[in-house]
Amino acid sequence: MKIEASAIRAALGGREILHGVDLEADRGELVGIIGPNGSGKSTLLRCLCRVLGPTAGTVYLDGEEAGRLKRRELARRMALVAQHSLGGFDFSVLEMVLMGRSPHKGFLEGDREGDRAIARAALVAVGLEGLEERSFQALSGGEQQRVILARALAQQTPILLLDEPTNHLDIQYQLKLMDLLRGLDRTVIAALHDLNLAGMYCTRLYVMKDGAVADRGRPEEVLTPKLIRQVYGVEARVEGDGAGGVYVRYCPGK
Amino acid sequence: MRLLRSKGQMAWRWALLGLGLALPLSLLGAVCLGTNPLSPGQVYGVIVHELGCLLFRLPIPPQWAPGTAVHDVVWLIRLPRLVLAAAVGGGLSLCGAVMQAVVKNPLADPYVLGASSGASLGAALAILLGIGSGLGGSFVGLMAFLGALVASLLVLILSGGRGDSLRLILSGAALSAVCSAASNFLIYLSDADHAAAQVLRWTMGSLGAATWPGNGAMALAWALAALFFWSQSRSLNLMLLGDESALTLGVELGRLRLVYLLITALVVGLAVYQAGVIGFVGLVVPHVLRLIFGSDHRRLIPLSALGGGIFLLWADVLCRSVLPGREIPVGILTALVGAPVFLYLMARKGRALGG
Repeated sequence: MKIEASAIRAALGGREILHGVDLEADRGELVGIIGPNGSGKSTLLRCLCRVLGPTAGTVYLDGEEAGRLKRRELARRMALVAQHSLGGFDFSVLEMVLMGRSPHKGFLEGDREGDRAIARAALVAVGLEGLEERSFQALSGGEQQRVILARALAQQTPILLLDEPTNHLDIQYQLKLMDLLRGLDRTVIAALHDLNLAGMYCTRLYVMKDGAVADRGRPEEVLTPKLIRQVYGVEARVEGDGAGGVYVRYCPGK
Repeated sequence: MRLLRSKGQMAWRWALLGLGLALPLSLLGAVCLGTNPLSPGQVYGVIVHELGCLLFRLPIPPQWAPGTAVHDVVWLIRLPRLVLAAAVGGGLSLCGAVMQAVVKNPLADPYVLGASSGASLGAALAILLGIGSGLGGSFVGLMAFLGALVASLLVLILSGGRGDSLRLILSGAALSAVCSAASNFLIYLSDADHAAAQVLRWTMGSLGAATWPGNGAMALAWALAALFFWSQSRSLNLMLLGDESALTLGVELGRLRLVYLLITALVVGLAVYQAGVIGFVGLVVPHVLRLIFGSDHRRLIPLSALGGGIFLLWADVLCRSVLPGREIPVGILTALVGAPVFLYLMARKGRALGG
């Protein structure tokens, strides 16, 4: 499914965070959104899935206006992986993942064997098989993050949005997660902190600065020492990996 | 980690069946207990004939008929009180479970929106100033009911009406403080110690005033609310995830919260009207069940509705039998019995509340 956002503006607490952002992503793509803290990456993702209503601009899903869709309908097309907290409560891992089936369930409809199979498959995909009955709160931060990803996978949406999905993950699972995202036959948009992950895995990058898109394009086009200096104020060297991806080396103290 | 894990799927069904059977059995068992020694034969004779009369219009033989001591003790004193205890306990536990999800806070109880302090203010106005005496014989209870309802509605309005859980808790706390201050002021101004004691008794709860049509209304409210919230289990589960996650899963929580709160306010108001403020049931029973069976509301809602009923029924029986010739306010006993059980389970679990 193709997602297109045009001229998105959004405000939080009376302050405008996004000043007219355009973005598009197509099926099979892994689009990265990079940019410093407070540049509007998370806000943009929230506008795309309408957790936050944009003050102006439109999001189209295969040409259909997202704002006209019902919440349930929207939840069958887009899933968001973001920060999570259960407060003082707890669920089992399987219960957490099964909640991803909610938008597909009718009033009073229980979880069927098919839903459990989907949830278990999602847990296998994130490498958490066998932990179904474990308490979610007793998991490590990284394992919790992967449960939330499994929930989004179980939601079986053509579009998947992720807000810093590699937070809390060790390097092994960072790479596994990016491999998984790249291999999905879905439209994937991820806000990323790590420029190397973005450079190695993403098909396209959007660079956010001060609530606007500073640059866009393929990683080797976008990730240049000049842009990194402009956007992050950091000196860096960039090498191609010979396959369209790039490595970024930071040069601290300059 | 919950106490029953892999067997959870089956275990909770057995528990539901067990509690479903335990409730009527508790009613039939407890009705034989009391200061008047009556044989089970006498007790069940009265019940069977009353039911036969109610359902099939059969005549009641004279030895069981209304007016005989046996009949009046069983049918007019013991049974209505037991039914009310079950309905109030079940209703409060149910509302506690719902309220904890609605405000996403394990410390919430059915009175978190100020229903208890609103009720005491209503009762204080009625007892000390005679306000509402035009409402009839049970005007104190009615004023308490109104107090509970008005306080809950005010909290909804003060919180901005959008169903934001933190704002709800804070508005509830603020309004509770105002209501408590107002009733304390009234008590302070009035010289009558007797009246102050009456208000105090209202805030400690008692099931002594149970009568038939009234407890039937409570039982009906309990049953309907339990069925409604059972049907809402999925949304209640999503409430524990928070607004944003629920939204991405297709459910907008704000309006649902307001609907749930209105329904719980009605059930709690009705419970206050019939039995005053009975603390701890609505906090502890859902927690104990959550510790054993997990947070899934598909299990928690029916188990709380039944478990709370059984708990308060036996708590009330204890209240009447611990001190010979005297009754302890049931709220005191629920706290005395409930708190240690709760602490024991929490210590055994050794982790955050609620799992």
